[in-house]
Amino acid sequence: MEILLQSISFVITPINMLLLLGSTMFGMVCGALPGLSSSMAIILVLPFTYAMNPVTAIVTLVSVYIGGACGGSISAILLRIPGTPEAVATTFDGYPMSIRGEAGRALGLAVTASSFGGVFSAFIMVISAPLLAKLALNFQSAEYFMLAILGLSCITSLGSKNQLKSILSAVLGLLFSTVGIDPINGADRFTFAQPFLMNGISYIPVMIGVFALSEVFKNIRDTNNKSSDLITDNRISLKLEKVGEMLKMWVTFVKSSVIGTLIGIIPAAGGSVASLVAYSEAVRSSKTPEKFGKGHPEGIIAPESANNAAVGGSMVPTLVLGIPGSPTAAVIMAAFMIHGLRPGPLLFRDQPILLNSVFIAIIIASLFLFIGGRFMTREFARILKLPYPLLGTLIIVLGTVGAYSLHNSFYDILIMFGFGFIGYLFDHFRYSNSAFILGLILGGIAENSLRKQLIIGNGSWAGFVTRPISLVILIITLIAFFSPLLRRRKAS
Amino acid sequence: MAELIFNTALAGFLLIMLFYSKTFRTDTVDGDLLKSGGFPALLIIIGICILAVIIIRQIKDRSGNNNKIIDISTRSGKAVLINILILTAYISVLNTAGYAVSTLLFTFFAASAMGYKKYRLLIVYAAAVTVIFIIVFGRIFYVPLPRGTGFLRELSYYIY
Repeated sequence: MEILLQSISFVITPINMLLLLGSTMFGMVCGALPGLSSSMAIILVLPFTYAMNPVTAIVTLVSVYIGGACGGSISAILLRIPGTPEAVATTFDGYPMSIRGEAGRALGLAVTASSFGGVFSAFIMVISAPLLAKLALNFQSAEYFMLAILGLSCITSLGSKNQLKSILSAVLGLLFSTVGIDPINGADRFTFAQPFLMNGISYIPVMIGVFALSEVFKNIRDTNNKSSDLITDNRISLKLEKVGEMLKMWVTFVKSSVIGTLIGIIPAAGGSVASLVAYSEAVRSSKTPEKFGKGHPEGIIAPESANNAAVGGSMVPTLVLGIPGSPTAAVIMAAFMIHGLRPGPLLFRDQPILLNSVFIAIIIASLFLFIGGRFMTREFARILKLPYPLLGTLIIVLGTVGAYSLHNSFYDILIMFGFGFIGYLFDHFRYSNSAFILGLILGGIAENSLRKQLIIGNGSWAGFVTRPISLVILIITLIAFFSPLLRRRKAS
Repeated sequence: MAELIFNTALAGFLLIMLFYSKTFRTDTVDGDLLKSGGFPALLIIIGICILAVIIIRQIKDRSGNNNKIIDISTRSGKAVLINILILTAYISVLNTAGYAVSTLLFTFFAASAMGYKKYRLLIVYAAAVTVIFIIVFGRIFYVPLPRGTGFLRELSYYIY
């Protein structure tokens, strides 16, 4: 308790609070701009922290991370451009809410859920970080594979009008994820001797193409060349739900935060997997799964709670074991080393104040998301008041520079352009763009872990059902996949 | 008919991919049952089966979206086509003309093709968008935006 109070007094100083607020907002700005990841934002802030004391430096970087995880939802909801991969699932319901004139409410839900997820994961970390870190090490290839399949299980709900087309879209996404060098035997796969395909297809340019570019083309077609506002809500401001309304959805808040924290702890799983799994689970357990994908509030709460909870979760293996839980956590780990600190089991014994300060910073930064969210919403709302020709052009320019800045590669722009057409065609023929992206994101994890488990088991498939965690996830996956189909059959 | 053609093209694409997946290197470590081509081949086979069901249902029910993908006989269809062409031109000249010039021109022409007629305001808007993006991405976040060639390249060093 004494250590906790000391940590609070270390973090809550006027300078630290200003830095926390500033860095949370900076993280949100970077998160909202496609192509700029949380890790890039932290790298940009890192040089400014050299002269700071270690506690101030680390809490500053952690708050950038928190802001970045939430910021992606802003452009996902308002422009249908997920600012970060973690915000992909937020697009599914956030954008339809915006179109319906509920952009402010959607943003309010995203910020509240992000804040809740962050605070929740910080409390879990304070209570049980060492125990959870050990548990995470039990996750092996079989569990990773099952996790990817669980993430994919919501595809039957995403395209409720034509489930076969949704499944086919996901299969195509999975197929595109196999492009590039095979990580196990180094074979060239579907690269057609093009060097830019060797590293595979990055999903950020694809996401920008299928979501943003195709949407612009669709809007040009549907608005019949008249200038019209895309978002019908003319006075967008962050609208917070009433406490009573929130409490009705408390299960989704808590369950998604638990999922996010647990998946965040698993090294290399990350916030994007967490948000997709949480979304799938929200669809599975909902009494009205058919409302998902059409602007359901819980479709925003689930991914946003999970991706911010994953931030706290990813700090657990980073701090306790010295194994970064995500690429961004790896950058923060580097910052520890710059300040002469070595993350690992000894950090708990030697630097308890620093560790508790990180947890407290996560809580404070999560609360600052409301201030940042209010500011960002106001600024983005100005953009949305533009007539559609100006807004549509802006979306294309932002998407282009976002795709390019990911690897500073011109080919990523070509990928965005190509997938923009694919997205347009998918939309025209009622295939599911969301299921396609889901397949693309989770395909790499699914294939690699499937084949690694087979290698570990010397060709045996038994490992997927004999490992308890894997078996539990498999059962949940089967329920999640088949329940919407059975419910539909029963209803008809 | 349009959807049937699309689905048939998709089936053709999957068959080509299936053919390529059979050409991948097969040497791998013990226990790797799927090898490098197994996972994609499995996906393609699942995809073809689903597609076959979709096509059969479509023929049987005479369902599907038969609207033209881009109807160039309408104003909006023309606008879509023109915007695709403008975007193609933008991407094509990005490396030659540089980010600043190509973005300025793209913003102006794309917005006019979408139906914006206040040209004076549009010039200001295009310039503002270009400047803001160069400042944010080129100067603040150090993204090496395309510089173009020749004189434009030299000029770009003064800006970003």
